[in-house]
Amino acid sequence: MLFQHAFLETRWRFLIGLVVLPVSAAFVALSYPQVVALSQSVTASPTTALGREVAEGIELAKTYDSYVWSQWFRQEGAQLGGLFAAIIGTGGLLSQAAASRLFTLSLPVSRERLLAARAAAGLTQMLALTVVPALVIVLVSPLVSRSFPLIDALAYALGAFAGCAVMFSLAFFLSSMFGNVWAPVVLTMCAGAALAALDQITGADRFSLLRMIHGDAYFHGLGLLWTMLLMSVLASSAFVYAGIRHVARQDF
Amino acid sequence: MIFRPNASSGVPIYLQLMEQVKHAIETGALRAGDQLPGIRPLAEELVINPNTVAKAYRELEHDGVIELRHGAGAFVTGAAREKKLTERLKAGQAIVAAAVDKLRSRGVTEAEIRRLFEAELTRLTMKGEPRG
Amino acid sequence: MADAFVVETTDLRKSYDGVEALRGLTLSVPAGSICGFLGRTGAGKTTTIKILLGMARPTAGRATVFGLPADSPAASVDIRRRTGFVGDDKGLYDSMTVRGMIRHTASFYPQWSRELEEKYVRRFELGPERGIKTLSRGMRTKLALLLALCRGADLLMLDEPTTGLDPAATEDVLQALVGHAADRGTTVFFSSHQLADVEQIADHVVIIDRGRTAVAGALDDLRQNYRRIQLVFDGDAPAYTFQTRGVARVKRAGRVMTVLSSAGIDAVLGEARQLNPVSTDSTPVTLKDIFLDTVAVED
Repeated sequence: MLFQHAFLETRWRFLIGLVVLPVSAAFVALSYPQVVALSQSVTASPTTALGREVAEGIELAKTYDSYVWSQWFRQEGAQLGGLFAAIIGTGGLLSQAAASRLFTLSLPVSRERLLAARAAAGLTQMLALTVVPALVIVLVSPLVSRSFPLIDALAYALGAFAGCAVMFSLAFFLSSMFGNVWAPVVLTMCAGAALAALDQITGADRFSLLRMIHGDAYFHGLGLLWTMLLMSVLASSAFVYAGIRHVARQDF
Repeated sequence: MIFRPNASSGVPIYLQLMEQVKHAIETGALRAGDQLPGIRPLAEELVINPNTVAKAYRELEHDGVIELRHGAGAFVTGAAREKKLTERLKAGQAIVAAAVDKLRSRGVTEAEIRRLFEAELTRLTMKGEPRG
Repeated sequence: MADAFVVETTDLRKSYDGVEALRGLTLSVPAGSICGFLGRTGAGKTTTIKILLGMARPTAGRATVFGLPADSPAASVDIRRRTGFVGDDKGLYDSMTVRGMIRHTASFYPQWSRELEEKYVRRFELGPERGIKTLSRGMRTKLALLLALCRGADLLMLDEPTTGLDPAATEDVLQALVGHAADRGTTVFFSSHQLADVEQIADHVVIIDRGRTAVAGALDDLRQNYRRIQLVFDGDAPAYTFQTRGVARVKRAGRVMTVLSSAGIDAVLGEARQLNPVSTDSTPVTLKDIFLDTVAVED
């Protein structure tokens, strides 16, 4: 019952995400014809930064696969996924109303089990939020006379899930430190932004978390980065473990 | 036996309960051989501690008002014991009447008399003598 | 359960951020008793209950429930399996229905009794489909009480169960407690501000004051032992410090000295006679008197 209860606690955030992400993904896929039409009527000058970006965009729009990857998996999907990971990861005992918190703590379950159930429920929801949009793209592509390989979709979804799991776990850990339900969200988003900035500065390639979420390596034909996936599993586990330990020792 | 014990009146609840039982017998609401409610159901009905009911029953048994038959319950005692009780009370009444008369002839007011009796009884309780 | 005491604390201490909530609390709750836990707001009642249920850990001292250490997380799970807790905020999940809350709670207790559940749902008139958000305070208390009673607990721990309830709801709650305790021999430990309620159903009492035990014992013994003794003098009542143990309070007003003693009249009277009072008088004392005179003292 702990898992079900934890799942229900975040159900609204999850359901909103379950609508927003797949719909956005479908929108990306279904906009392909317009984008193609648009890019054919535009020429870009490669001398300005903006011009270079536009040129890159046009380049990527040349094939459906690269278009979907660059618009969804590298951009919107990743951003929304990260946001929802933070929103679902926050909450928990510290920010709960005192009354229901004491009731929960009076149940004959260890705090470890309570929190593990919350982590499991949240990660399950994140899995759905990364896989379902990818599947939607595969299903919707024929509507624009294209097809997106299922295997690619799942590969990207896996990278996205692994990365979003780290974001979720970070928010989960932060929620064991703050009684405020928003602080973990803000801090997690800041961490994400910091990572993005770091990427820009160092020009990091395959070993950046963000690139893993984006599925960069896979897109460039290098296959799945198992080392990065493993690292993200370790990082997520570490954050979740730290969060559990922290709550286990607290006084309420 | 529906009555509401008053927890804050200063009179212990078990005494109030004893008085209620005795009153019920005097008015005939309870007759010789009638069974009293069980300790637990009565405690729940009156919303008081079961030990309080148990104590009242024990004291009533000591007074000869009821008898506790092991395994069967509490029963109002038979006529003979009742008669003995009434006689004892009658004799007591005579003694009290004489004492009250004497005190009043010395100018002690009613309220003072009441307090003197209460004080003496509580003093006895303090010494551990049973209020039998 | 061979132990005579279901709950025992020894010199229990708890500090939160430099504030000492408990300063060496020692108490014992006899098995099968209904024990009232009294104290002023902030005296440490809720802190004590939290420690006993493993929600907070003591700074020093020992606390055991069913003989198990309350500060061991593993033992605490066992303690909670055998304890029914009702917090002062009643702690229900607002997003659930009555039925949902009952089913959710029941899933954690293998000894849950469906029979009792149905009995109390009927008795308390709890509509199963109602949302918890819509329940009045009295109904919330009754639901929280149901959740505690149906789990086959050996100990019921309640924090201010009747505070804020109307007299009818209060009577319902007290009656359920007495009935349940009488039928099953469950120990009841409840903190309360409602002295009349405690006097009505408790047979044991612990009064906590500023983090320590001020008074503890069987209610009958306390009523018997605590006396208010009034001494009237010819002139002004003398300033005198009693040597006898158990003198809780001495008040002087003009020619009258009032002594609150917990050790019986004789010792005090013996000492008082030396002062040559004009008259001595003793009156029994209610729980409210004991409470006010032992914890409302400005030292």
